[in-house]
Amino acid sequence: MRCDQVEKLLVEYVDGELNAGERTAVSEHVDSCPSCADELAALEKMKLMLTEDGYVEPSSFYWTRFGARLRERTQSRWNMGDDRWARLVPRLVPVAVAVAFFSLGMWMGLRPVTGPTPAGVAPGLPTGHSFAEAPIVSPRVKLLVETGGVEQPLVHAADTLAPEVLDPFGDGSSFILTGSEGPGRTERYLGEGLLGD
Amino acid sequence: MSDKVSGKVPKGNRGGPEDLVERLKAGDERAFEELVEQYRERVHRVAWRILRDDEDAEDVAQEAFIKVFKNIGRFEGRSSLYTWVYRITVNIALNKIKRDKFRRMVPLGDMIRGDTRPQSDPARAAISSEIATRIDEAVKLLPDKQRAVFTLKFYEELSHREIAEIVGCSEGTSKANYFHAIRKLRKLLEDLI
Repeated sequence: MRCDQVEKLLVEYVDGELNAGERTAVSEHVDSCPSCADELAALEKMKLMLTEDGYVEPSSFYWTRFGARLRERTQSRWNMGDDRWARLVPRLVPVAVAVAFFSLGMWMGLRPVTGPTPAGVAPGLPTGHSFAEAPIVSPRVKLLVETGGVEQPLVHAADTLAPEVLDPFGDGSSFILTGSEGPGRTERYLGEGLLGD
Repeated sequence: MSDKVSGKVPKGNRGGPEDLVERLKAGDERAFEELVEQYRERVHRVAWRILRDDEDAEDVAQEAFIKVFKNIGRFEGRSSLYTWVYRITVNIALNKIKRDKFRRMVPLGDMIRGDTRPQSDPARAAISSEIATRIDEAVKLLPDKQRAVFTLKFYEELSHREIAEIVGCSEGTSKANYFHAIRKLRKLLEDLI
């Protein structure tokens, strides 16, 4: 092996990273070459010297402080996430209000004043408002009431109704039956909501 | 450097790196504390040896753990946890060197930095010798990548395969970087040898 070849392998030789064959070859060369032997000694000395580079393993006090600082920083990053929401919510409120008003406007504008409604729901009134709360009845029911086709209390009540109360929409499509059945007792009766009859 | 080995626990081991990663991903605060306890020496040592400064090393170590904490969800286990932690540390340290080089071009930045730096701690000052100062200066003269490879190979005793993974190069490049770093240090420290 020549000196230039050995020189390229000396770093790995010092680190013990050569294979057995290379190691033997370098070793044999160094034994017979003062120049390469000097270079090997210099590298070994430098390796030893580099370990005294002034690095000091931190103390346990240092690590306690380090941990506390890190906890503080990671915690603040978590909180920053929460703060982000906290900052975002006030900004979203006007948007939410605007959306709510828009939706309400759309609903008010689009909802039918009269029209077919599910059974048990008073037409022209907010959804979920039942006949029990605002009894509305169609002319057919009125006819039934008048001809005795419904139960007695209804007939009785119909008889007592004031005419202006019977037609809440003014189009003859439905009637409200409210009436007094005896002193101090007011009853309301509902129909089927058969509009457009 | 025995703690280096502790990072290489067989897959699936309770209390091992995989278990730790799972717990970290689940947001277990205790797992983060364990991670810091397990890796803080290595992270600090590597950061210090690349930067050669106590305060900078602490900043980088803190930043590295925060980055691990924030990005653990992205860790897919293709590399070892300790390799990943090393990579994050080395990247932050090398970026710091780049930033500082840029800052040195701005005199005001240097002035402010100089004013805010604390005095060296007495223990460190006592140990600090001419040799240590010379090594500091010599290592700082190495190109960034050589500095990182030299630190990981010489002080952390990692293999070139591991270093290649950490630094993001081939094994051959790692070997070449290390070889050139040693040759350069040999030249710079010639009068002390």
